[in-house]
Amino acid sequence: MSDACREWRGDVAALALGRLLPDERVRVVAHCDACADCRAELAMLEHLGRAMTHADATRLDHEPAPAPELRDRIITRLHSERDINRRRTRRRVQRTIAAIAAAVVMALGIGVAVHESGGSHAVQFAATSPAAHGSFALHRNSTGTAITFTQAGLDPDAVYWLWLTDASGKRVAAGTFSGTPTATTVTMQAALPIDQVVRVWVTDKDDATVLDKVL
Amino acid sequence: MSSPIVDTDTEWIAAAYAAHGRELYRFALRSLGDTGLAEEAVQTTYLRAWRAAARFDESLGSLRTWLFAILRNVVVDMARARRARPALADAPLADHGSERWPASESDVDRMLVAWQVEEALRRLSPDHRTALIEIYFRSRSYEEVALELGIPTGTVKSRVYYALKALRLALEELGWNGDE
Repeated sequence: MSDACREWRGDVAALALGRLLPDERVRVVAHCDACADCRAELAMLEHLGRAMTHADATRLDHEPAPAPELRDRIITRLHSERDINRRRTRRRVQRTIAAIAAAVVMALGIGVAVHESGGSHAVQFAATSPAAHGSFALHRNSTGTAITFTQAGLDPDAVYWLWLTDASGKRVAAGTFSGTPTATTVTMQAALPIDQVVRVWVTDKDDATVLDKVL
Repeated sequence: MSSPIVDTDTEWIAAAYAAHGRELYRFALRSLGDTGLAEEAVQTTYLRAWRAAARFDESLGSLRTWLFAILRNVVVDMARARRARPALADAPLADHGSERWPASESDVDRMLVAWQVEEALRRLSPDHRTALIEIYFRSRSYEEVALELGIPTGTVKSRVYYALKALRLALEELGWNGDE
């Protein structure tokens, strides 16, 4: 609203609030029709007036306040909720760590098995006959221990026994095989858990030891 | 503060409460009509704000506007829950007062505008507030008010005009978005 319309301000406001008498109204409306500034001002004030219709002026006499302890109650709830969240997070982290640990153990187990089954950790026998030599690798399996066994220099016409022994001295047969002059690899099986094996050895038909390794 | 724990979260809540707790409460009370429910609504509002604090972006709006937006939703949720619960036959009359509860989101928005206008009226100078209340809310004539205040009628008209201008500014400060 321009300064030139300063004298109209009060009447424009009264028009916006519907508080003008009929003859005053005609006069102010006529001015607004001719004055863009006052028309815009009228529109703004009418808009404001419509928002005011929802208000209840009697409420202004009383300014309610929350209970003084409301803030502390909110803070107490915050701490409580935060503690719960922290406990949940801690449990989640513990579960995650346990899962990772389990995965690592499993991976190590698989690694050991692969290591063992791959035969790369082959152990040399301490030969007891000058011509014979050999090596072996142990593998864990569901029924005991599998032995990947390589030998050479044994009598091709003779039969040999492969044994595993546990800490108590009990020996468990892994099977028999024929000697070969050149290196030959076979896989045999013994019903003794791998972690109980303390000795791997080979005997001839007279039960004389020809290859031996104490683990 | 009664809590011995002082940390960032606590300080944040305490500061936000000191800045806006009372006005949030007044709007909640205006909408729900019950002091206990209003306090519950304010409490829920601050807890929701704390949970979502990472999403608050001051460049998008003030903390005040954000808190009121949360409170509005809390009031809508509470009203919805209240309407879904059948009134007990032997409940006090006040509990049956479903007409007092906002029936829709637009009801809550209207209550918000009403509350904003009332808050804005409180912020007017006494002269402006008196002029506006007497002329508009009490529907008295300009002449009558002028006589009572001992000032010319033109001055009353002028005060009402400036009161409306000041009211609009106060409403904008309160986050009024032009809703009617």
